[in-house]
Amino acid sequence: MTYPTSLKLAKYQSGVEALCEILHPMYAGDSKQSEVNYITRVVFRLNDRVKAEFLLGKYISRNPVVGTVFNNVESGDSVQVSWQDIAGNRGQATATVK
Amino acid sequence: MNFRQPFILLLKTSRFLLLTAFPVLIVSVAWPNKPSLAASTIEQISLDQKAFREFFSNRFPELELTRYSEGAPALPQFSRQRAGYDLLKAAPPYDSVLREAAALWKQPLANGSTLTQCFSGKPPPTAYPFLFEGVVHTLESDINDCFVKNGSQPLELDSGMLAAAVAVYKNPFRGQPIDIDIRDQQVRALYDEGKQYFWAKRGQMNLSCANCHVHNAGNQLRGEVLSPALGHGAGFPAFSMREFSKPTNVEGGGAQPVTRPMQNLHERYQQCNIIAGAAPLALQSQTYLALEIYQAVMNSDLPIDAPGLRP
Amino acid sequence: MYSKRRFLKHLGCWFTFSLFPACLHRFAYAADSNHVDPRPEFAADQIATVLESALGSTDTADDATIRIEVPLVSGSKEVVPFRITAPGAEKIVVVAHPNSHPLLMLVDNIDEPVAVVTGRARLDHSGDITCYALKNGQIGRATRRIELSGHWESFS
Ligand code: HEC
Repeated sequence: MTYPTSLKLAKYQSGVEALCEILHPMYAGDSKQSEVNYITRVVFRLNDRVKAEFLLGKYISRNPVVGTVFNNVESGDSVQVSWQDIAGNRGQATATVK
Repeated sequence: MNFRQPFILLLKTSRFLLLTAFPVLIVSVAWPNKPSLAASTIEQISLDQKAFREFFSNRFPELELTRYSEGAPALPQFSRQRAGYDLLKAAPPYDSVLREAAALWKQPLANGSTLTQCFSGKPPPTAYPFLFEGVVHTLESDINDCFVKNGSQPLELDSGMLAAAVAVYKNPFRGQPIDIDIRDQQVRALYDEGKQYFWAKRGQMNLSCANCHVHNAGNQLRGEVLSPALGHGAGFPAFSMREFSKPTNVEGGGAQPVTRPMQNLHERYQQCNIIAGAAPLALQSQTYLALEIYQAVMNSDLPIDAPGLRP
Repeated sequence: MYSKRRFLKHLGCWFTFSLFPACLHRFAYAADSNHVDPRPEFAADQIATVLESALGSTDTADDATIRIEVPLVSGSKEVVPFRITAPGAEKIVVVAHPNSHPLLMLVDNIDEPVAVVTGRARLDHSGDITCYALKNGQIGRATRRIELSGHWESFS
């Protein structure tokens, strides 16, 4: 199963906010769902250097959006995001600072 | 003089009165009331607009006219939820829906042509809804007409996919002023029909649209801030966070239910009828079209803000 | 005669046997909610346990430099967006007080002078969102209350 991943860069104060949206159902296993599957890890990298590692649980909403701000970026820098869920699915997206 | 004479006189005159009064009464009731059946003139409509806007500018003095398109989130009464709204807007959930529906515009229909080709000669979304050869055209009806004309199945009116397709067409025009052509007398007749529907009370609660969206705009109804009627429709189709949060939407699985929270204006009309205890009408029915025309005319010069985001 | 005692006995039987099937769904889906996150900090049901396993200490202090942006009132409990700004933080823990497993999000390996992290949470009830930030071996704390207006489940 592949889940579409998108990475959006927006200006935030003096830096850039990277917002990653994953169209993932985030099945929490409560209510009447039989499935349990949610994203556990999202890693943001700036030019291949880890900038933040998000560990998530089942209390993150469906189609999750997580993001972080890079304070010192120059145009041309590349931002990568990669994630994995408990079923072993992975995904990633990249964007370039304008 | 006979003491009975005055009474007889009275009886005689009253009989005369009755005989003459009845036909006059009947004729006056049955006589077609011509002037009130004719459509409003353009001047009357602009007076309506002026009065409508004056009411809201008195009610929300610090709210600029262009911000009404945003609906309830623009109101000062929404300020306690506003921080969340702004955070959502930073990465709006409708973006993925737009991306998905953009493919629909390029996808070849049964005979090879596409939706984009159908719309190459069409007016901009700011001019919708309009009347052409006696038929009201909305973006929803035009998109489905295109599907049918090219041999494909039309989209379901409440599928969310149709609303998303409309949103794709409207999105590039965000910020442009609404401009409805009311020179046609038939359009103005529809305007009157919509106006009548908007102000008439109905349903178990005996509420008119105006009761909630004019007289109580900005007040809360069961946790929701009521939007002002000025701007209604400018932010539609809208992504509804409430629809998105419904457990029934979660069970669909995968990325599939994502398009469903897109809601078009007539679906919102139906919801409003239901919460006021009135029977909802069919999507794209004559009365809803008239209502849409009435609200669009009231919104003249307000910017389009579609797709909108609603709590 | 139909005695009072017998009447009460029958009433009790009727109540139990008519209401019991209505509760069956609780057992039918019970297995699903038994899923336990393998990571101890996410499986913990006490904030103290979360802090112990995520940050190694429960010794926290209020920190005014941490800023939490959340709505005061949220219309939806499924999507409650938040943004946290914590200057100098190396590790950030975000917990929601009302949730049965309080840990929402843990941000590790932060490599920025000012950490700004965003997420969207699901809350069980109205309550507090608390952020713990680890910097220079100290744990700072800030809290904001969120009220759920709950209209998402009412009408149509
Ligand atoms: C019982 C009160 C009530 C009545 C009567 C009512 N509505 Fe609503 N309406 C609401 C609520 C609540 C909402 C959702 C919150 C809001 O205003 O955005 C809403 C939203 C709307 C919206 C969406 C506004 C936006 O930009 O998000 C439109 C359009 C609308 N109503 C039109 C109508 C029309 C037309 C009628 C008459 C048929 C009507 N309403 C009658 C309560 C009502």
